Amino acid sequence: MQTEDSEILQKFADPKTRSEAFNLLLKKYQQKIYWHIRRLVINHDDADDLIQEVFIKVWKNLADFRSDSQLYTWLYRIATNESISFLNRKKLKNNISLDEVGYELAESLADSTYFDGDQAQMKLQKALLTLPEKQRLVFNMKYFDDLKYEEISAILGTSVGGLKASYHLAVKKVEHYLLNTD
Amino acid sequence: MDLENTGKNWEDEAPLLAGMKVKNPFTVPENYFAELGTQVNSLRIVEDARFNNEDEFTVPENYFKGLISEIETRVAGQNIQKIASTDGFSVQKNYFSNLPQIITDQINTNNQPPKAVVKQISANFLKYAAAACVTLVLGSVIVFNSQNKTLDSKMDKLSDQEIVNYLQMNSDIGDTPLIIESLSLNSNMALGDSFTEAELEKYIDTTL
Repeated sequence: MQTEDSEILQKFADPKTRSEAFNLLLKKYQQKIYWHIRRLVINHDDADDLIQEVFIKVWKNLADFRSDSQLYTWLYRIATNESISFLNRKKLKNNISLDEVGYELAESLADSTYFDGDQAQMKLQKALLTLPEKQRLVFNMKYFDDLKYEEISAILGTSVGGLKASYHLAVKKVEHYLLNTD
Repeated sequence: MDLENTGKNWEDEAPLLAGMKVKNPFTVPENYFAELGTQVNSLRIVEDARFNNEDEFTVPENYFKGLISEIETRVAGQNIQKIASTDGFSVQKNYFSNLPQIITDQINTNNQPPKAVVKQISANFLKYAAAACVTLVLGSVIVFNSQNKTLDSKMDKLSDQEIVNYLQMNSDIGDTPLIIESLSLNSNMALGDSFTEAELEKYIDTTL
């Protein structure tokens, strides 16, 4: 049985139970956050580095967390920002455009040890890597994580209408890619 | 586009995608999530220690001021290197592999005793020298000729008596054969009608 967010936050507020609270938070959210990051950066080693950075940030800033928002949306937001920053750094470091980052990621996907999808799933991932960053984010959170638009809106700070439009465009582009690419 | 319905009817617009089973194709190493908590906690402890010790370290005065300019300089240097990675100069093939030998040879040459310097005589110098020689020869001939003329003219001015006196004073017995020979060679020389040959022989025998 998973601990409620309110209990985690309460324990974290007390210095004596802070470490315990953090471990509860880790157990509850590590996998969700990991997969969110992994779908964005594709490579396991990069995702591993990023999730550790994310939880260190959580440890440092959880005391300042305002409970007027959901804890998991706050965690998703940190993970999303860290992942996008990572992709931007990669783009700058290799002096390539974001489209080329997508191409590189698609290449690394084919060589990845930790990918056991079939050809259709590989094709779907490659299709997603052709999408603009925002559309890919929205698609991942809606299609794979099955988050509600309101939850995605809280994470990304975008209106529900804008998210629906992004998801719609993403779906159409992915369908077109699946139909027209070998 | 009806944004309110976009989320509901996407399956109609993308039947192929809708027909695919939603599955996470990514995997992780064995026991990854079991160990992730431990890893994060280790990092957390290190981070806590780092933050607690942060104030213990100091930097030299004005370090960060200088750091900015140093970083700017390095960035500028790298930018220049990107634009022009080389200076554009080049040398012929194997230049540097042959260079040490060339320098060694030159050093050895400089250490040898100096040789006599043979200067090349220029063509101009030869012309001037030849002209000087010709001038000298011509000058000598002219001077010599003028001197001969002078001697003849001086002899003409002398009277016979002065010549006779000179010969009496300066000739000796050895001159007699020469005079006779000279007379016989110049037998056609006009001696005048006043002397006969017998008189001349007598004169020479008694005088010289």
